[in-house]
Amino acid sequence: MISSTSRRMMAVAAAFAITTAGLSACSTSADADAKSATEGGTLVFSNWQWLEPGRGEVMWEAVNGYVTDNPKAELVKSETAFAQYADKLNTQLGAGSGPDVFVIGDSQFVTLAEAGLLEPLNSSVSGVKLNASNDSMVLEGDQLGVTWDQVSYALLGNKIVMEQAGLTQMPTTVDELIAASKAIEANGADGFAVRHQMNDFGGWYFDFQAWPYGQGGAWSDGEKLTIDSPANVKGVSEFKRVMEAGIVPIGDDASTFRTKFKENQLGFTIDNSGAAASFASGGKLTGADILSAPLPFPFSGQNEHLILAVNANSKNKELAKNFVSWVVSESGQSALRPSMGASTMATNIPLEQEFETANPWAATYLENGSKSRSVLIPGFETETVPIMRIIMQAVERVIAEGQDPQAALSQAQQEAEAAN
Amino acid sequence: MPVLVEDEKDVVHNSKSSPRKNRLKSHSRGFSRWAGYLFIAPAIIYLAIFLLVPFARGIQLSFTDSVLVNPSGGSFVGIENYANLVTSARFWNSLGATLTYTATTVFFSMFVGTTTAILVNRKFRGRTIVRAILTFPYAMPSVAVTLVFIWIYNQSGGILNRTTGALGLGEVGWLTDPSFGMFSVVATTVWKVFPFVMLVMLAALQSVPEELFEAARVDGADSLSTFRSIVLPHLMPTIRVVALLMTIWSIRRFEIIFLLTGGGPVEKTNTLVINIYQRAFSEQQLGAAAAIAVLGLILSLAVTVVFFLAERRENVKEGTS
Repeated sequence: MISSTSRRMMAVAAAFAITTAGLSACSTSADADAKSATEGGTLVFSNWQWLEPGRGEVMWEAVNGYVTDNPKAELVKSETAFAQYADKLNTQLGAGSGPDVFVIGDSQFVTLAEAGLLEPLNSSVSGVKLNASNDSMVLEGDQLGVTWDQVSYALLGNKIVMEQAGLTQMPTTVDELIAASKAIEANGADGFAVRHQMNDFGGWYFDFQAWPYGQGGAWSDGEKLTIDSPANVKGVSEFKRVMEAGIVPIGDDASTFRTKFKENQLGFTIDNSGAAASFASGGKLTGADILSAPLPFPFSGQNEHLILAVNANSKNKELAKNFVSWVVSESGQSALRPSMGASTMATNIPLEQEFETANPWAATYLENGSKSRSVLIPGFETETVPIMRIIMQAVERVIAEGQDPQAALSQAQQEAEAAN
Repeated sequence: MPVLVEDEKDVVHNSKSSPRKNRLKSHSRGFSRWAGYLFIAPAIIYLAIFLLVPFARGIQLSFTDSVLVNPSGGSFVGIENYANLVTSARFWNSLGATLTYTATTVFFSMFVGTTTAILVNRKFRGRTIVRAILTFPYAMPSVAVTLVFIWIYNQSGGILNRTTGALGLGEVGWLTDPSFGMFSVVATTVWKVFPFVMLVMLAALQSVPEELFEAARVDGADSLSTFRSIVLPHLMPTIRVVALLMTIWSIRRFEIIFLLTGGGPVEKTNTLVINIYQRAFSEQQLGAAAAIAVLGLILSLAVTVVFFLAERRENVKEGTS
C-alpha cells in the first residue's frame, strides 16, 4: 500500500508539474523619455549577422565608425542565432521592450510595421538619395526602415574541390549540376548542399524559392494563391530529383554545409551573397577560390531583403534615428560596403575595385540581384510565413515520403486556401 | 497523579493568571492562528504573481485572436480557437505524436532505468564508478546532448550510419525519414532521462529491509521469486510516482524534440508543445497557441486524475483484502 508521505509527495509533484505548464505573457509600456541625439547614450543593436564567422567582426567594426562621429554614443551588440532571431525579436517587441535598432527580414518587417512597432525614419533619410530598394518600406508616407543588405542568390562552386575532381566549368542546368556533383562525390567530397529540413525552416523557405522561381513560378498571382501551378510543380520536381541523386549530404544544416564549403569538403551550393561574403572573409578559402554562376534554371531567383529599423518603444529613439542617418550617409555606406559583399545597400554605392578584383564571384550576384524577386507572397505579404510553412511541409512530404509533387502542392493549395 | 491534557493545563494556568497575562496570552493565541498563513504568504504571493496570473492570462488569451507582436490588442472570439483546433488535422496529428512520444518514452525510460538500478544494486568491483558514469547523461545539459545526437544521427557522416554502412545495412535517415524520426527522438530522450529513474529506483531498492532477503534465502526462494515477492512490492509505489512524473514531463518536453527535428520529418514528431511554439512564435497566433496550451493542460490533468483514481481504487482493494 502506498504511504501517506508518498501520496503527499505525488500530489505536490503532480500539482507543481501541471501548473508550470501554463503560458505566460506580460507586457510593459515603454518609457518614452525623449533624449536628443547629442546627449549620447547607449544603443543596443540586434543582428544575427554578428555571429557570422569572419564577416560578423568586420561588419561590427564598420558599424562602430558611428561612435567615431558621435563619441557620446555607445553601441552594444545583441547576438542571436538566425534560427531563433525573428521569434525572439517579435516576442521582445510585442512586450514593448527589445533592442533600440535591429535588422529584420522583409516578412518580419511587414508584421512589425502593421503592429505599429517601428519608428518612422523620415528625418533620418531626409536629403539622402536612397535607391529603389527602399521604396517598399514606405507605408502611408512614412519611411519605416531602410535597406541594410539585399541579398540575391547564385550557384557557388568551390574551385579547389572542383579542380581536384577535374572540373573547370560551372554547371548551367540541373543535369550538369548532378553530373558534376557526382564527379566530386567520386573524389571523396560532398557534391551539392542546400537547406532541406524543417528544423531549419526559417532559412529553408528563403533558400527554397530559387527552385520554383527558377522555373518561372510564383505562389500567388497577387489576388489568389497559385501554389500548385505547373511551374511550381516543376520546381519541386527538380528539387526532388537533386535530393534523390545521391549528391546531397542529407541531414547537414546550413552551418554544417557552409563550414564544409569553406573547408574544401563541398563542391557546390546555392546560397545568398551574404554567405558568399562570409566564405571569402578568411580561412582556407579566398575570394578567388569561389566560383559563381547564375542559378541552373531557366529563370532568375529570389532576393532576401534585410531591413534596418528602429524600435518605436526605444528609450533612445533620437539617438537611434541619428544612427540610421549615419548608416545611410556616404561615410556610413562606405564603411559598411566591404562587409556587405555584393549585396545591394540603401544607396547606390559601388563595389570597391579592390574587392571586385579579389572576389570575382561578386559580379554574378550583382547581375542576379537586378533580376530577382522578393520572397514575400504578393497579396499575402503578412501571411507569407504561415503559407510557406504549409508549402515547405508539402515539399518535405515529397522528399521524405516520396509523395508526387503535383499531389503535395495541390494539398498545400487546399490547406493554404482554407487557412486564408 | 492525574494527567492533565493541554487544554486543561491552560485552564488551570489561566485561573491563576492576572488579567494582563490573560490578554497577552490571548494575543499570542491570535498570532499563533495567523502565523502559519504569514509563513506561507511569501510563497503564495510568489506563485500568484509568477504562476497563477500568467496562467489565468493564458486561458484568457485562448479566447482571443491576439498576435505575438500585439498581445494585448486581440479581441474576444469566444470558442473559435478551440473549434478550429478540434476540426484541424494538424492538432489531432499533434495529439497523436504527443501520446506516442509520451507512452514510448515513459515505458522505455522506466524499463531501462529500473533494470539498470537492479543491476547496479548488486555488489561488484567498481560499482561506485559505474553508477557515477550511468548518471552522466542526466547531469548533461539537454542542448549539449541534443547537439551530440544530431551528429550521431547525421545521415551522411554520422557514426550510426557509418556503423550501419560497415555492417552492410546501408544508410538510414534517422532524423529525415518519417519512419525513424520518432524513434530517434525517443531514443535520445530515454538516454537522457533514464538515469533519473535509475537513481530513484536505486534509493527505493536500498530501503528494502535486508531481513526480508535473508528470510527468502532461508526459505530457499530463487532470484526471480525474491524479486517478484519482495523487491517488486517495495518498488511499486516508487514506480507509480516516477511514472507519473515522467508522463507529465514527457507531455511538456520541448528542447530535445525542437532541436533534433523541429517537429519533422513530415510532422511525425510535432508534439503539442512544438505545435504551441510554432503557432505562437513562427505564425504569431498567440490566441490559437494558448488554446493548444489549455488543451495540453487538460491532457496533463486527465493523466493525473486517472492516476489518482487508480491509486485510490488500489488502496481500497488492499484495505479490504
